[in-house]
Parts: sequence; C-alpha cells; structure tokens
Amino acid sequence: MRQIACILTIIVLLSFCSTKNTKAELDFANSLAKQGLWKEAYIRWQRVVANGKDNASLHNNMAIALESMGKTEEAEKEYLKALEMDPKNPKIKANYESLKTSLGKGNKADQKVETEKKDEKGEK
Amino acid sequence: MKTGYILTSILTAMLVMTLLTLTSCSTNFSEVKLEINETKSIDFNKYDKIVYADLILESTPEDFNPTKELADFFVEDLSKVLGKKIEALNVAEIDKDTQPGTEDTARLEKIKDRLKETPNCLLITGKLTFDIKTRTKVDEVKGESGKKEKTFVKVQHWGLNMKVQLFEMTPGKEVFNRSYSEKTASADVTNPKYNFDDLFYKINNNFTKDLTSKKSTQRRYLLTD
Repeated sequence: MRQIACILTIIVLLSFCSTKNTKAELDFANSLAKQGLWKEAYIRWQRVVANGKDNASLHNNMAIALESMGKTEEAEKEYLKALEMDPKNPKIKANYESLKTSLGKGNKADQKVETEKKDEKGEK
Repeated sequence: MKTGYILTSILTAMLVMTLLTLTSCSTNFSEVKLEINETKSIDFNKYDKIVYADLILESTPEDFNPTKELADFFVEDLSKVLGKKIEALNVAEIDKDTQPGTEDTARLEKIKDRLKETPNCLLITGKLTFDIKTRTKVDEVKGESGKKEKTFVKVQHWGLNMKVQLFEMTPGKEVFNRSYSEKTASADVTNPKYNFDDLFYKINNNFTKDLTSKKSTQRRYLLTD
C-alpha cells in the first residue's frame, strides 16, 4: 500500500515538473513573440504541441507567427484549428477576421467554422 | 492507519492536479503588432497600356534638368520592376502651353484628352520639386602657402520632393498618390547631377517598394494560458 502511495506522489510530482517546464517554454516563446522574433517563438510553440500540450491558444499564437512569416494559408489553417477547439473565443475570432480582411476575404469566422464542421460531418 | 495514509495521499494528489488544471485554464491575452506584407497595391496586369507623362518640374537648378533621368527611371527601370512595358508620352506640347503655376488639374485634363483613344490605360505622372539653399560658412582650407587658412566657402542644402500620381484613364480615377522627400546637407556645389542622383536613388527606392508591395502594421491577440 505504501508503495502505491509513493508511486502516486512521484506521478504527481513528475506531472507538476513537466507542467512547469512547459510553462517556462511557453513564457519564453511569448516573450520572443512580443519582441517580434516570430520564427523562434513558432519553433517553441511547435515543440510544446509535439510534447502533447494542445490547445486553442497555442494554435492561435502559431497562426500569428505564420502570418508574420507571410504563410497566410497555413496561418488560416491554424486559426481554424484554434476556433474548432474554442469556437467562442472572441480574441481568436478577431485575429481570424483580421487575417481574412487583410487577404481581401470578408468571411465571418463563425460561418467558416460552421461550414468546415458540416463538411467534416458530411465526410464522415 | 494504512488506508487513511493512502486516502490522504490520493486526496493530496487530486488537489494538486485540480489546482494545476484550474491555473492552466485561465486565458490571458496581450496585444502584439504585426508587420504584414500584403499583395501588390496595384494590379498592373489589368491595364492594356501604361504611359508615363513627364513630371512637372519646380525650382530646378539653372545648370541641371532631370527630365532625362526621370524618364529613364520611369520608362526603363520601373518597366523592369513591374514586368510591364511603360511608354513615354510626349507632353512637350502640352507643357509648352502650360504656364508655370497652372493648376495640375488643367494639365491633367489635357493629358486625359490625349489618351481618350487609349482605353484601359494607366497614367503615371506627378511633380518634382527642388529645394536648394546656398549658404556661406567659414571653413579651414589649404592656402597657396600650404597652410590651413580660414576662408568663406559656399555650401548647399538640397531637398527633393517627388509627388507621384497614378490615374486609371477609363473612369479617370486616381489609384495612387504619394509624396517622397529626401534631403542632404552635404551637397556638392559643383555637381548638381550627383546631388540629384544621390537623393533620387533613395526616393525611387521607396516609391518602388510602395508600388510593388503593401506593408501594413496590424494588431493581433497573443494568448497565454
């Protein structure tokens, strides 16, 4: 029984440590982004996703980085992923709308996500 | 006792996990500025013909006329940049009749009239203004004896302002209007062409950049968990 308790404690500690490492990596990536070092920030966000943490914020931030690198098509995909994960997030919606406006497309973020969802359901 | 110890451990672990989850769930944001290169500001391929009408020159120096240099840039260099032929429109007759100080619109109307037979045409024209100020200052120069002597020397401050306008001839709509200025305080008094080339190079560089790509600063929200 004591062994089980020890294992549980180790698991909790390990997960805590990995969360701390991820947080440090994310903080660093965000500070790089704020300095305009988008490529460097993008590499770190990608690493965090590869390590298993996947959320709307990460995809939103990666989309901004891609936009800054001129990769607008990839940026659009990342925004859509972010909106799929968090469809009601006003900041992601605003970012996506801005991208569409700068590309000369006026599609509403909601409509696009809805259409994509319907398409996916149709395919399935 | 043992069961109590295990239960306490499990509860502590769950509490830590819940705290971690709760802290990771709150999303903050910060505004970032992005410099975005947009597509070409003008689609030159949609025009059948692009013509250049000499820029109106104002306050040109007595010993230098930049008409040829300007035509070389707009007709030859810019053609290469845009990948589209630019033809020079002879406006000498129009300009001969145009009195100095006449409104640009009057000249423009005459040019439009000349181009009315050419549908879907883009006109490039504008105005180039010189601002040259000559001053005298005391400077040390080598005299005949080889010694440095204080004497009065002439110095020139040059300023160049170029306004470029692009007009779609069919609806008569202005599609581009921008002014560019450059100045130097160390102009060569004896070589006006050198001074012009020096300033015009900077101006046409900026103009070409504006014409071929549109840069804009945009705001985005960076999210942090």
